[in-house]
Amino acid sequence: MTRMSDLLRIENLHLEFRTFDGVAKVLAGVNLTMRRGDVLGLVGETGCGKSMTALAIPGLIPMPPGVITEGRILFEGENLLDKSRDEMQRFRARKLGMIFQDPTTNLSPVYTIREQLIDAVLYQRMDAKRVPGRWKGWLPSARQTRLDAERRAVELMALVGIPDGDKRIAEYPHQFSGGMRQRVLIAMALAGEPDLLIADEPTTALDVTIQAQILRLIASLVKQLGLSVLLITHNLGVVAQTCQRVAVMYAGRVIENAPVRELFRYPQHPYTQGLLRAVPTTRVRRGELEGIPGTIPNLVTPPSGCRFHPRCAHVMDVCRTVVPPGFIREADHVIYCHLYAETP
Amino acid sequence: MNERLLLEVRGLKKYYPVRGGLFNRRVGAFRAVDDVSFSVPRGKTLGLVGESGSGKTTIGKCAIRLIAPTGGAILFDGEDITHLNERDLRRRRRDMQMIYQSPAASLNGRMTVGEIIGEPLWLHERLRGAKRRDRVIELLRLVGLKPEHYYRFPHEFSGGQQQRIGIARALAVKPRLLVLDEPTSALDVSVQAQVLNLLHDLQQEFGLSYLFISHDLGVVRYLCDQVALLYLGKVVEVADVETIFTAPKHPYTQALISAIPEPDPEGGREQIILKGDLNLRAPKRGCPFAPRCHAAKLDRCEADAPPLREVERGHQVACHLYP
Repeated sequence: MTRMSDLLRIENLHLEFRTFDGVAKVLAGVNLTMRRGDVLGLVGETGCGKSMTALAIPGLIPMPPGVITEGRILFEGENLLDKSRDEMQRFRARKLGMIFQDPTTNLSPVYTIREQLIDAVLYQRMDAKRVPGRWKGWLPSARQTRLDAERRAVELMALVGIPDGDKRIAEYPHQFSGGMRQRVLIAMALAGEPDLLIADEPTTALDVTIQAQILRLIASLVKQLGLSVLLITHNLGVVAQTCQRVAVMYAGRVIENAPVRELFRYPQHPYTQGLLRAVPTTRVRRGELEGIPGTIPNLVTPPSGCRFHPRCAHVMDVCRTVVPPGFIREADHVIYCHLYAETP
Repeated sequence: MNERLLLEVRGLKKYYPVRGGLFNRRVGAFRAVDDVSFSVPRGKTLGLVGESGSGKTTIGKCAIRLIAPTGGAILFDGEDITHLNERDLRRRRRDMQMIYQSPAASLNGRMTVGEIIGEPLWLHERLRGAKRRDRVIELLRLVGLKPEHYYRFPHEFSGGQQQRIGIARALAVKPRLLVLDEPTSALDVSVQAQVLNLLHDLQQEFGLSYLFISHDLGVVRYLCDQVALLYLGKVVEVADVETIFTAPKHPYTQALISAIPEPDPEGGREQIILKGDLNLRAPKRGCPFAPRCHAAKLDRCEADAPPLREVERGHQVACHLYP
């Protein structure tokens, strides 16, 4: 079933959070496939589960309250959910890089960039237990290890486009601008030469001109290093400009999955269509922008069947009871909607 | 005095002291807003656009005197409100209200929706009891909420609904000018569309004037009639919205517009990628944008700051390339 070229394959992933209000069914059957070298955009609105899907891959879902009740996450054919803590630690170090929305909170304000980058390099290169800590700096062997790592850190800074890396490495995070901090975090994520980079809203906190710089950097890294990127964002413009494939999520499920041109030209799922119509662009005239009526559902008591049916203009009886399976429109364009049941 | 203009701001300045040295003395001034002039025509929307740190929120707050400007003049409906005393100012504030970026943070979590929207009615009109409740319910309907929301608390609402509560509170006193400080940047696109349409409908219905502060150029293009672009506390370009988006003149405007990711994978548009980032410690002399400018460098760019000049009718640019 799993093709060799598949780097990551998420099958029928179910995630629940046990809360005081009841069990929130945060993910209800997520299916995703990424091939090597893919840049996959995962889009959706607040609370649709895109970040949770991303956090499930490295095993960073807080458990409790989170419970994965069903499904598999296959990375190069191995199910990550079967791995032990130590194995996951090694997996994260060698295969995965992650960057997040807010570059400020992900850097420690009390250590220089040097300390933080060296740690990133060492922990991703060697077994966590053998990393010589800063306090061991007086040991000649440890000092040599850290000096080597520093050389690598400066290389990484050059790779992500921080000028004067050898000087700026001595500075603290607050001396860097937002865009530069995000570059530092990308450098950290790349320290272990990962196969997959998970970028969770990497440019949401940045200005548009800086966003353009960071997106261009990510695109060039994909070319240079053969990275695969899972880009999570709510910005459809960012997806259109950087990704090859898009998966649209709604209330804990992927509802449409297609190559980027196909999705923007022929959006099929009513939610995707609504989402694209809601973005103000050149073509819409004032007062004619269409929102999607209603609000996102409560995940403790989600709607039965298709979770979008209470807001859908094309709702049918079957939508209220049966979860729509994936229907293939054309090569690689999958829609999870009963409207497309007839098409073979 | 131009009859068409509701709000006119001339040479607005806001400096913040930079303290340091022995005894925390004042050692300099940070020019958050430096000699900014613009105007909001009646019944129209002016967009103030700029990146973080460009001073757009400070301008918005100065314009309705929520913070005191260091210099310049603010004319509201022909009346100079720059030096109004507290009492007269409070009376004037009926006509100008503000809507904030974070709907959750701008609503008091311990007050019910009825109290939140009713408070300005008490403060400005001394309305109470059933009369006030009727007005509040009318306002709730106006912004697309329901009468049964009256006794609920802000946390029971979604982000979009909270923003609607904020809008209802601002509209309670029947203002003529609304200062909207990034009113949709905390909202999802589908909800943003609803709120933008609401703002548009309200403007049509009541002839409101908007000062719309945003960094989202797509939203600005959708809602605004005129746009003023800010860079480091200075206006670099003013024009009507079509001109700004189709024929921008200032290199910064060009870069900013080219940097918006269009939701169209086939839009083969050349992006201008700016060097470096907005540095708040701008050079003291010359054009503040000069260190990042991608256009041809003139000697004058580093030497003196270009003034805002009208290059075409209704199109002002502050750049040495357009003498």
